[in-house]
Amino acid sequence: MTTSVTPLGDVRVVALEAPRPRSGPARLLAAPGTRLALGALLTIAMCVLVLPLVLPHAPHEQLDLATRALASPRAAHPFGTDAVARDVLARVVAGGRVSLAVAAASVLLASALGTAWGLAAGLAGARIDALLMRLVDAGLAVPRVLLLLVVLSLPREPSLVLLVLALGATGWFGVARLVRTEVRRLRDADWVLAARALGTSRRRLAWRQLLPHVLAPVLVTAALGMGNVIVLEAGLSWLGVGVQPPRASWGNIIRDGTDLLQAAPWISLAPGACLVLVVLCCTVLADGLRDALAARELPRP
Amino acid sequence: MSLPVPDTARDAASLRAAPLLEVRNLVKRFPIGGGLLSRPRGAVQAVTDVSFDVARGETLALVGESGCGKTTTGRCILRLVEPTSGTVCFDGTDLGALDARAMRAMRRRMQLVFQDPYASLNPRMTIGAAIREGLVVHRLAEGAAADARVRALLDEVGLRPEWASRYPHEFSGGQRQRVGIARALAVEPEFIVLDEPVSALDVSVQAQVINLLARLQRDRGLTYLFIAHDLGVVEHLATRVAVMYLGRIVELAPTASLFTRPVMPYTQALLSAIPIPDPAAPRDRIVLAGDPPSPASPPSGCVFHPRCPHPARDAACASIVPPLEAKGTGHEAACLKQPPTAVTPAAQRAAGGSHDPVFSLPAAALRSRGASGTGTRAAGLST
Amino acid sequence: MTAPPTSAATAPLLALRDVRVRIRTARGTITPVDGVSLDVHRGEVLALVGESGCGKSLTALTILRLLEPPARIEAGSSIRFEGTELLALDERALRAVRGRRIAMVFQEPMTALNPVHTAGAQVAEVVRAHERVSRREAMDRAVAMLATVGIPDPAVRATQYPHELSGGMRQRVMLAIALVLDPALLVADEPTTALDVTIQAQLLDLLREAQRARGASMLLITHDLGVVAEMAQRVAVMYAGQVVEEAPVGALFAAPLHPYTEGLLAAMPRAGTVRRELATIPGTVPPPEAWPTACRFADRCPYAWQRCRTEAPPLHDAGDGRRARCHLVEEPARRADRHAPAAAGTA
Repeated sequence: MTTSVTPLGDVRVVALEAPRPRSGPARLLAAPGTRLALGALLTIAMCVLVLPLVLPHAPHEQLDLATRALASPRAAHPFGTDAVARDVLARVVAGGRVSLAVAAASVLLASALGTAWGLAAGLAGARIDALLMRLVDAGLAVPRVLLLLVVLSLPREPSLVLLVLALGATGWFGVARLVRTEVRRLRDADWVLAARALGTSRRRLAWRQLLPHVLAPVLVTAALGMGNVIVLEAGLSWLGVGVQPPRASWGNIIRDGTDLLQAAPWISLAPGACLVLVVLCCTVLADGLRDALAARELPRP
Repeated sequence: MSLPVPDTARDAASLRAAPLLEVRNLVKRFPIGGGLLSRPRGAVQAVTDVSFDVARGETLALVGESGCGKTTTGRCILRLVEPTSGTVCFDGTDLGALDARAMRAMRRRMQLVFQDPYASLNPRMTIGAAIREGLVVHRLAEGAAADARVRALLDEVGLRPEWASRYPHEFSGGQRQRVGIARALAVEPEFIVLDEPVSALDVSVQAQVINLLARLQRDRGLTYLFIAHDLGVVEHLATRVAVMYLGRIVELAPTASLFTRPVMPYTQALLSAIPIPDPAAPRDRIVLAGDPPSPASPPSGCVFHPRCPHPARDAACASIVPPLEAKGTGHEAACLKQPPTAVTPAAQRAAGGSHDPVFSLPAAALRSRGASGTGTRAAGLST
Repeated sequence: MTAPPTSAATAPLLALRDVRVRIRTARGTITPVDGVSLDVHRGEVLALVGESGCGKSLTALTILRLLEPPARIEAGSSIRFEGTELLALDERALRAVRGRRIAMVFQEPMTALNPVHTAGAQVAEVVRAHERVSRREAMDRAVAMLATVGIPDPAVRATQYPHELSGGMRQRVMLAIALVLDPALLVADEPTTALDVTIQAQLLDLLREAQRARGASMLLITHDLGVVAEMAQRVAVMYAGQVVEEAPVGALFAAPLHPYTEGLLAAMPRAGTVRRELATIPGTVPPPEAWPTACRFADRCPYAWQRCRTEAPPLHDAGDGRRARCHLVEEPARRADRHAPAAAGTA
């Protein structure tokens, strides 16, 4: 006898009848991994915000080239100094500000664009929907790094704003597809039909009823996207088209250090470690978010 | 306590006077396949040439098995699904002629209650917000006045007003169905399409919701289109019953008449198939051969003819589409072989018929009535 | 609970004794099946009836030990089948019972059939899993079985996949899988609930015929009292994890002993109730973590008195093969005192 039926048919009612469940944040923080990741991210964010105010050296400040260049980590310079005698700690902190800000802004932009596009496609008729999604497919078909290289090498000196715009404008295709799929799935739900039967307009339906649903998966994607964009920005800066020196970013600090990996490994190591840590935390946080949001949709009996 | 039943004379009079809802020759075809560049590969005719009236204050039940088109009919009436052709007039207004804005305004007067109380509420919205939505959309109440309305509605459907801030998953199936009813009532409609409102509920809860629906109809003078497959509930609630099979109405009659003298052989089989909660009830029933055909390729002539047990069934049934015509007072059915019929024996013979119409009503169709006259009729506890 | 006679001739085919299922949840441990005892005799159909959440399906799953963690059958439970304690069997010995001596039919044929295998292959698979037969012989038996369950053109249908079959056909295939090895006991969990009423009628006739022709026993789990009346010889009614009434089918419908059974029968719309207010059972079935400690139905019961809230009623023997978990069996005079139940809430 082959059986593939969920054996707990009757029991699912239990969850339904249970007392009021914990709130979303409480569920999210229930997982120790998520707590740790969130804590680490908040600490890093606090550090890059506050440390520049108290650190003895400025990130661009060139100390005595003769005595202080390529100094290994010590009390005065916990992360050492680079080839032009700048304090690596000061640069990593300043670079973190830029890297995190660029990533956050561009992910926010991509999420907003993608959500709007996806909602529009999902609620549109078959033809408009097909058209909008083919455009997304086209966007996904172009290699993102290549596109960014081209766009960012056009101006002589790409500004941070351009970098954010470029990263945002090339990062929303996946979000749009995700949101559109979610809306298509939801729009046949009885409660959507009920809202239409009440005379709710399409725009109100999208804002009031559908947006809260699609925000959940968008949030998860955004957390993952955060990690991606930080790496991407680092890569672009490493290639020289991202954040322009002398302004620091984790990517261009790592590049500064790559030529000197033998002599002064600390230059690349510190920003590299920060990068890995932040990306890891983003991934763990995304997983935690997904689990917490999945638990919100209680099974039906 | 008995429900206010308009006596038949008044019923008939008001029907002739001004039905609240008039459905004429409704057709809905769903294309199969097709996309941006490809053409549809075919079509499923979910609803074929459906016409009926619903009088003010009555409950018209639309019954049939899955895939018969009853749900699509209900949604076409509310224009939640755009009909392929045919007209729906509500209180004299042709709904098909309304633009999107006018239709949205019209929705205040006609509402829908769903079968599945788990799927019909937005899980991310409190029940208070869900009920309030209609008030806000139609600018019926705002702020504190809207809150008060929500509380009053919850109370009216038998829920505690302070539960307004809770989410749907905190409620049982029966309670959610009450929320769905309150949401529909919020805009003070005159007409409600009830799409299997109790078939997902356990029997003890089902009885509570049936009583609630009956009370609301009495208190608010509502008109119901009651879509159902459970004939026990239908007999309990409906004024008239329309039986659908493969997208067509095959019988339309006052409730008592339909249950005591079913004309269409399909209706007879349907009535005989209901399990009766009485171990002493007779066991014989009309067993239909095979499954209902696919709506994508319905049989020619009478859609029921391949499974029809009528003794006079013949080749004419396969070639002539039987009209829905009067077989008794207010009792219409679509069958060539159940007299009287406008399709003369001569015309039937010309179409290849070999039998003349002869009235047939097998005892099994009425077995639920039993000899004692207190026969019982089954209803599921839930589905 | 009275002990069953132990002689081999009258020993029940299946005997559940004091079966308890515990589930550990985030909010504590619940016992959705709490001390169920049932007998299924040879050749009989026993219906297990109740509303959703009463534990009837879970009880059925304990028989073949198909429960999965976190659900657990408590120590002290006993399930004897053909003289063997099923709860003591190892996995291998259990597999020999599953499908061959005891077969199950589920509610949803679409999810219970494997979509990537043909109907015939799925029937043949059961044969080959239990008997050393050639592929060809197994398929021949599968086709013969499909014919037995009333599938037209069985040889053609055998080569079709579940999605090519209608709901009624799929349920017939499920039935063929269940019956192909001639099991002694068929456990059918809501076998016709997903089907339309005319198809349900076909399937019920087929189930009854198959069960009679083979002399098999059946445990029929359903919520539909109409199906019970048509199929069963005896009925057990479950409420909140317990059997609250057990009776021959005629007696149960004629004069239910337990107020819950009485309420269920009264709540059904039927010819006699047309346009009258339906009788209802007030309140709603409480969740397992909120089951009252004394009588679990007391809050919703129109007869409940002080004793019902302090003392849990045992399953009293009321004679004539009837039992009811209700103090009214001891104090029948109380039946005259019908009043509004404590739970005035709504479902």
